[in-house]
Amino acid sequence: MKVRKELVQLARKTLLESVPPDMHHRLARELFEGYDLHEATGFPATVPIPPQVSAQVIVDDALRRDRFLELVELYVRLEKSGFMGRSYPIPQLREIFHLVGLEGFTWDQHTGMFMEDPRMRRTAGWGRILPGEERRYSLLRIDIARNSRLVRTHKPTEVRRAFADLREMLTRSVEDRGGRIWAWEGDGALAAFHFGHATTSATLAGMALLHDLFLYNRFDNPLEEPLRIRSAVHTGPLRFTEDQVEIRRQETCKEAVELEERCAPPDWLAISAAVAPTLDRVLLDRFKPIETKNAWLVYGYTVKMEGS
Amino acid sequence: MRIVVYGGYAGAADWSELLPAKVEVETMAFSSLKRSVERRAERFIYLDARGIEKEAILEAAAWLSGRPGLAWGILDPDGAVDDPAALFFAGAGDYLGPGTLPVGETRLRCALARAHRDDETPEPEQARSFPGWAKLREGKEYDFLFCHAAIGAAERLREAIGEKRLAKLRESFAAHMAEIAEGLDGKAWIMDSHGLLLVFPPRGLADSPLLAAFELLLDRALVGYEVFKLEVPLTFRFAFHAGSAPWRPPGATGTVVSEDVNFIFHLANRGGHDGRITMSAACADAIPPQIADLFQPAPAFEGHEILISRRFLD
Repeated sequence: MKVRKELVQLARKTLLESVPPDMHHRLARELFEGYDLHEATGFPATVPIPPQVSAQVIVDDALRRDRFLELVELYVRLEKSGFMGRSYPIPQLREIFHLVGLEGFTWDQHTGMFMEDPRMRRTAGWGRILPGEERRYSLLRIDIARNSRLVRTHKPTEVRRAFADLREMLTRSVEDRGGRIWAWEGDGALAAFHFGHATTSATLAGMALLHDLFLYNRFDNPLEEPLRIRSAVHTGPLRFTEDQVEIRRQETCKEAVELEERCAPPDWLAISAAVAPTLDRVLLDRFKPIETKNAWLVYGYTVKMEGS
Repeated sequence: MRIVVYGGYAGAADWSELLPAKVEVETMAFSSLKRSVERRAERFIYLDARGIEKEAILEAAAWLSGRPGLAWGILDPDGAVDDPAALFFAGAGDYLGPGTLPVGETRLRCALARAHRDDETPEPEQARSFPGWAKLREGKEYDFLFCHAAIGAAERLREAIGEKRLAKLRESFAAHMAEIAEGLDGKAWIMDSHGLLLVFPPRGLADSPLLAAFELLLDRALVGYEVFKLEVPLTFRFAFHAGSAPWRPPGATGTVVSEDVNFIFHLANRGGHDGRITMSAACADAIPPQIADLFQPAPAFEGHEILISRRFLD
């Protein structure tokens, strides 16, 4: 992440003026596991490090290791919750928030983190995750049911329009809940959620998409038949990469695809046994067990009206 | 001044550098164009040409041009439209391309005025008695579309979350409904112990509050969880009726005497059902045709024919 000079200087000044020197090392260890400030500054262990030097080195390391936003989030935590039972007022926070905003990030109350300002950019890693990092994600996989028949039996312009509309609806339901579309393959898509309550957000996005489609099929669908999808939510570890082929090769992604293909009937959202226990009861109660050929424990949701 | 722009993903559009700061811009999803136009009584909308295929614009143009009283234009900051004149042949009222943007407020007002200069759409018969909210005179009788909105299964909720939280939930629900009503050119009018009476201009001038109520019933699980942060299931009940009442502003409605207002409260509180829209046949024409099959006749109530919506299953 590139950070303007003014913000770097303010981050150093904050560390120097608002955080006592004896706290610098502890703070740095919060940020980088096993960090040795003496080694980083080149000062022997027996020689005290001047606070100006430690502040500069910590901020520079945060920049070099792409952890600058995490450092700033530590400042926020110092002021809001304190550290080891002591609170640390950070008078520069207001100005820092302003400058971080200029870098394209906004403060998200829900997660207590800086997130990409969606008006400026949306990247696959939320601007926070680096390629190669392994983290736990919740994946929402969707696929257009009977896609080949739709393409064969309708005008290409109508099919393109319907698919573009679906993409827009999916994007809205995913990005409004903090997720990212990782892949759009024309007849299907993969969306990922990581921050906050990721499984809940992925499930809500899948439900919202089914609701949108219910009305879309009645009001805006250019095809003469309903646009139907199979969808599934699964969660597990993934190594982040922007290479879609590499993402698809990983086990969690393969399981999400398999869940959608083998367990979700058209118009249904299936959630895996890994997702179900993480949901609040009020949401899980909307899902019914789905019978599967492979005896997987899967729950499903669909929009159903009486008399239909 | 307020304009509505239909485009790609609604959250992505940023018009602050292209449209005047004074103009309030609402961005809507192109995929919901027909539903939204059906629901809202817009007089002028723009389509954002970025990300919409040419054929889709032409198809939308044909549909929009067939709607009386609605004018439309194209916002094309990237110059994606190769033949703007073709859009005028198709009925467009304005084109804002790269050579025109950023644009001033006066320019937008000119387009609006010009687009409606030949507007000979006759106002619906019923709407004549409604001059617009600003011109209503206190005590004078006007036609309205009434909607009573309430939280459903209140007894079960009281047991689950307690009286205090239920009272708070009712307040939040009333505020939420008032906001929705405002967006549809309606007003939150009278609170009662069960819910809130909303009033809208008669059909033909108002956006479709009935579709908004239907969407809330469809989205009840999401709204309960995401908007009201409830850990128990939530549903709603709605009642609709068309009739007349002497106008009093919200907060000064104690002296309103109206058979139709009495009826909507009776219908809501004694004839309504959780998870459904109950309506008198007097406002049956407020049901968008696309969802008309989801309503069915129900036994008459206090001498009025009644329609009731089918329930979404939990």
